[in-house]
Amino acid sequence: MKRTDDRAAALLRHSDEETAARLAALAIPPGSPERARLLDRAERKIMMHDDSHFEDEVRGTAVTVKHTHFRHIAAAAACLLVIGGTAAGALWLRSKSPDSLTPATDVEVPVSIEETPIVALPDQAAAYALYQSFPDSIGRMSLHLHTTMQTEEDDLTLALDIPADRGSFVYTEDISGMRYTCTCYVEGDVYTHLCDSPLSECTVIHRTDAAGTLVRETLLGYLPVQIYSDMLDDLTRWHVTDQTVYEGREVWVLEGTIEDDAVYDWTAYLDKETGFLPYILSKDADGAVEYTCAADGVQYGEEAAAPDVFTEAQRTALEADPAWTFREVWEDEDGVVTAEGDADTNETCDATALETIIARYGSVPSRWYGYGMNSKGEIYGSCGGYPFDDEHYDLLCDLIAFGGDKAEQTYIRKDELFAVAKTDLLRGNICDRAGADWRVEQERDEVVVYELGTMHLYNKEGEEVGTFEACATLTPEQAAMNDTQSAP
Amino acid sequence: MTMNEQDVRAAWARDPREGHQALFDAYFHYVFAIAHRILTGIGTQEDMEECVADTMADVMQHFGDIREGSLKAYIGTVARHHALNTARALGRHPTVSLDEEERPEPIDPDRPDAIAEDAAQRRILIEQIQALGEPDSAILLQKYWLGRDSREIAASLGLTPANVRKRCERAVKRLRKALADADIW
Repeated sequence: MKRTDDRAAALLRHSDEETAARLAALAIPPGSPERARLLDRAERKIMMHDDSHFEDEVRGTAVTVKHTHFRHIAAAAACLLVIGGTAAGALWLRSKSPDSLTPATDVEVPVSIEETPIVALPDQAAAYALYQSFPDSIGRMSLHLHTTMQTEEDDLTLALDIPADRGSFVYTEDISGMRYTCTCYVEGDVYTHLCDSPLSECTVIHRTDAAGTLVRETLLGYLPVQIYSDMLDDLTRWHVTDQTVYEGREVWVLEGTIEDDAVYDWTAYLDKETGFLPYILSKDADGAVEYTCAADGVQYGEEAAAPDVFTEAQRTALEADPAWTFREVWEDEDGVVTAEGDADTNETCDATALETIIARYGSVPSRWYGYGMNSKGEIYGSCGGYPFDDEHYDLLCDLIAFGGDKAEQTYIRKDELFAVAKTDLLRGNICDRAGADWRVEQERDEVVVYELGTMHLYNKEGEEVGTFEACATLTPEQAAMNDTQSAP
Repeated sequence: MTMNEQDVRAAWARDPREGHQALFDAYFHYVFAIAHRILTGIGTQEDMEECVADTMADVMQHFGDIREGSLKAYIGTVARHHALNTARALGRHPTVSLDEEERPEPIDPDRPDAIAEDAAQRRILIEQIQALGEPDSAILLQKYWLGRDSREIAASLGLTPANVRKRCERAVKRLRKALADADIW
């Protein structure tokens, strides 16, 4: 893939002038800030070149004023008048003022002055320098990280929970002049809970020395806390507002805004000692959580969990897993050769992780099928694309989104679903009578309808709001498989 | 909509400020391409921007004197003049041919069809990049053609560096798949 990228870059680089103009039009499109900036710069140059005769926006041409001796004399006289007037005014005020205070003057002192804590906030430049010092200052650290992210797709929310005991770590070191960047080790256990389709990202990083020899390879994820911290790079959009203690460590509180597809307000904590950002929370204008990332159990130095390496045995085992395909290798800006693999089929939803996240942040910020916990402690939300089989029973929400719309989502109970539909094929293809009729009309002989009986609909609080005639529609092949599964 | 000289002159007649904008819309990419071809490997991004801004400022100042029908030629001449001056000031010699002819590419004696093949591949590559849509096409071109990093791209397009990285990663995947489907690589 690296060769492919080089080839593409070379083809673009050797474009003729006409093609280059076409590339420029695409690369810096109309309406982009860069075009606006350059137009502004060109217009300023015109003004600088012709400052005695420039076009005024409203009134047309303005001509510079020609100075004469008379004007110089008049200006000097005006200055003398101002100076003289100021001096006279000062003398008059002094004559009217009360006696000045002397050490002997009695001054009424308040009975008690409450001592207020003085918060000596660092200036922004110092805070920014501290943030930039990470991870040079730490040597090694381990942490438990969890994050939720509203993705660009409306109905997709990503939640990660990366436990420290799986070997999460960040460290930095130099090998042949190549500095390791901050990275979080996740050993493949990236838990995702999604509304739409399974997604997991994991990265194998091959580090090479200057001679191109592979010196270490590690299965790594990324550390979202720092990945998303570049919002600090725009110094005009944040401030140090407070200090507090987070997870036993002293941190500065940073607050600001970031403009992405929309404007978000964010709060972040900056570790006073290391420059690490253990906590980021951003919300949109409506107060909906857009992104959270929090690390707890952070340990530094020798106390940190020992950095593990991805052993050959682990790598072989993972590559043998058919769910993993390593299909991307490229070299990034820093010269780090990276291979990426996707696990498309074997995600698990860790219910405990989800509960932790919900407990901390409230509902997980999905615009359509948000996960949450109701007052009875039941988790509601999408099935997340997980199979409705016994193996995944504990990972499914108690109340699974079914029917309703964005305004009023309705749910079915997991236990009722498993009681009514005996096989995972029936559970995964459940619908109401209207849905079954529609599919029959569309596919005629290509569908087999199973009538499952009456099921109940609930709101997210688990209160019954209606019933429906549950059906399942299967293809003839699925029906044959289902009959085999359900046979005693 | 693609603007031409007539559109620019019409806009200028209505209001010079509107004319400035129209001039940029119509010829920015042309000027940028000239600056980029001459200054690549010689100057910085700042040098190229200065060259573009100088060229546009010159054209704006002398717009009334430019003979009708020769605006593009005038702009091209001014842009080359500024780019070459910049190159000289930097003490470097441009490696690009100074006339408008395409730079001859080295011919591999074993593959005389290489130029035609490159041109075809380049055309398909650009079409596939364009098909990614904005801002992904802009991100990829800035990265691979202009050699900019995420922060520079973000500043150019009004995105965050993180967003650029994420979009770039996804766009590269989509492009690779599209090129593989088109049987290019």
